[in-house]
Amino acid sequence: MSIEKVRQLMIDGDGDAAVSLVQDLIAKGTSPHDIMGGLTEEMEHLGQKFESFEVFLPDLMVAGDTFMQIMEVLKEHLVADADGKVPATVVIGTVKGDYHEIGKNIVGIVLQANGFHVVDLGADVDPIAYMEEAHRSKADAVGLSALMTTTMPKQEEFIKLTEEAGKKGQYLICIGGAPTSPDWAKRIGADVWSFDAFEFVGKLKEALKNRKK
Amino acid sequence: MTKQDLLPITFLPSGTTAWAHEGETLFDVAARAGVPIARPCGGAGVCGKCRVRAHSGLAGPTETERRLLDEAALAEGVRLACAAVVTGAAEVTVIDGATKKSPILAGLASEITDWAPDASGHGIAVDIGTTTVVTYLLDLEAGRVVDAFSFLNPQIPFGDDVISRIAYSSTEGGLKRLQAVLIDGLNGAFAAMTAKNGLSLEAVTQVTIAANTVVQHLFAGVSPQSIGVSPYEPAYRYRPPLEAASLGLKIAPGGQVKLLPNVAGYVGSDIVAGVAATAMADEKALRLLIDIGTNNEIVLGNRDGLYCCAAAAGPAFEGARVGQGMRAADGAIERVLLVDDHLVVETIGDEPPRGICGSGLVDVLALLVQEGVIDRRGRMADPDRCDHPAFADRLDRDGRGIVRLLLTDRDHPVYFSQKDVRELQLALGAIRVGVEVLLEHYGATVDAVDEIFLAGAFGNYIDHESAVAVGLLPPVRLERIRSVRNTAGLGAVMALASASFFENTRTVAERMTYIELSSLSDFQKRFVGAMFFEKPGGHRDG
Repeated sequence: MSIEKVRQLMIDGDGDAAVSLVQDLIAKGTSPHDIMGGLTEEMEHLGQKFESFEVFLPDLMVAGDTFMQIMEVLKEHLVADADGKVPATVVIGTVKGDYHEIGKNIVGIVLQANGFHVVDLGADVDPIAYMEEAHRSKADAVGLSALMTTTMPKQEEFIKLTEEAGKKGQYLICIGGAPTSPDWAKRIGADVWSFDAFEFVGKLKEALKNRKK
Repeated sequence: MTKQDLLPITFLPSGTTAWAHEGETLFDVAARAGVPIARPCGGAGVCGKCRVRAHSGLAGPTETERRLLDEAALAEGVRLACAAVVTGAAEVTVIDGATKKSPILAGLASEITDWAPDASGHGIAVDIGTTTVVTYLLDLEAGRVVDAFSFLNPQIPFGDDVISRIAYSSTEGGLKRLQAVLIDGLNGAFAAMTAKNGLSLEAVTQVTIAANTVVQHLFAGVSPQSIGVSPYEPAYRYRPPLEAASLGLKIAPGGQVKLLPNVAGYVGSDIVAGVAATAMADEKALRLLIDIGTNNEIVLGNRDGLYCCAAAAGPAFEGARVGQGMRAADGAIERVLLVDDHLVVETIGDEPPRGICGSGLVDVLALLVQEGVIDRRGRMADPDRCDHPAFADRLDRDGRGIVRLLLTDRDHPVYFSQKDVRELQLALGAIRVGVEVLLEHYGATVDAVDEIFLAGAFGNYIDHESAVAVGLLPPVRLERIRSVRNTAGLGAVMALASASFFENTRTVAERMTYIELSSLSDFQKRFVGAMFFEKPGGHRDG
């Protein structure tokens, strides 16, 4: 019931109340994993409503900000309570020449709400920088966002670069952004394409599972 | 029925006489006789803008008239055509005549005073928009706009917006193709316009071009590729006049084409033309120019400084990407009002509704926010829970579960959906942040803005009160907002008419400081934050 309340506070954007409630719950013995599970569910719920436009960017910003605030508290407990499962790491960023970050940031939040470890390189990211960070953080996947028809070719450039460097196949290459399409993803040899952040989480989990087989 | 039973009503100034039945409203009589009287609210008795004057032959003022007209007006015999009832023969002077919706020529020539002393022959001024191209034929000696012509930009099939055209221009032969279709279109327009006015193409000695930066590059055959990637720099800002023949433009031999200067990749010569034409750069008054079109550009300043930005976030106000959105044409819903808990829509040309255009979108959005049917974050009320008397029965969900509102009767259904609200929020958010950022750079608050110029076709029709209510315009007193029509076209005309005006556009362009919104560190937060609606009388918050 109280986890319900945390979920509601996240949607309402009442970060301070959410944080103190979470601290209270943990002190009283509620499992931080259960709290996290509730938030993941709520995020999924937002994703469904996003599809019918009932939820939009303002709602996601409010919920996302509150979620990050709650995570600050929850993080340490989740580590302490870890059952040995290492979260997958995803490096994300908007491609070189493109400053559009909103979609990419939502991806970051939704991934974290689903237990992923996220490294966000920001916007205007050089192909080399993605590759270096993927190596450094031993990434399981790299996500490249492009919001302009004119910057989409940078996604292809990155894939060619990984091929030349012999890195192709070391991590999943995921692409997205309004002008991109499944056809484009196929043409350039990307592993995962998705319509929005919420669809991405499902597709990424699936692709990671298949990869481990 | 014989004419003895009917009452003669003479409408002035046209002098048309119509025959009326006792008990009819003046509106109905005028409509039957083809006398144009304005009807902004469709005859619902709410706007008070169908005024006429008559001293006899009418029943006493109705309650509606007493509510909407002040005592002084009533004493002078002012009446409302929608409410005043015929009782006898009457002579009626129309005060609010219906206006023709073709503003292209109106108000252009009268503002041009400084003609080039050596001007002779004819010239053509061109405003090339992403979507619409407008050409103006000028008699340079007489100092007069002879004719105007508009057509859809023939580059549209290669991309609706400038970004997709940049992408197409980088494909093989793409740049040449985009240039060729545009030049062909212009040649066609030039030929049609000169022929119609009994001129040969050889009579045209000069052409001026105002356009956004990308389209101007394409016109000149210069690759706009650099504008497609950050930092979005154009290949040039200013270039000297070109030989018309070198572009394939068919005018007099040796004829010249003058390109107005650009400021940045996304603030082009069309905006510079507007700033120059409105004299924003020369006066002390602090003015805000908002040009709403396929791209949205904003300029703030005065003689002490000018700042500008682009707030491109979708062409929602042109009806694009909105489910039943359409351009302002016959049958487009252009006004939406609530009258005694009844939803009233008015269409262009009084045609059956086919869709909704920008001004209608802003009206319906303002109305729904004001009535609480759309909440602060932009969510429409749940159709199962809404109990608003005007909207409850009109709300439902479409096949995909998206909430929508029926604006019309079911015979001509036009819907406004939750998805449409979201498209509008994107456009509104960008424009709002643009205005905020420019004010910060100038170092002024909204209260210091003396005047807001709303440019572009859309800016001409939009209801100012609705625009402020939805946050498209900052909260200023309504009398400070002015619709200024096509200032880009006006600037192109003035640059053609006056060599010194043309010279001055370069100084204006150099003085305009461009701010790239998307490169601001807090842009994304501010952009999304600007999508919230202010509750009437309340404050916008997160």
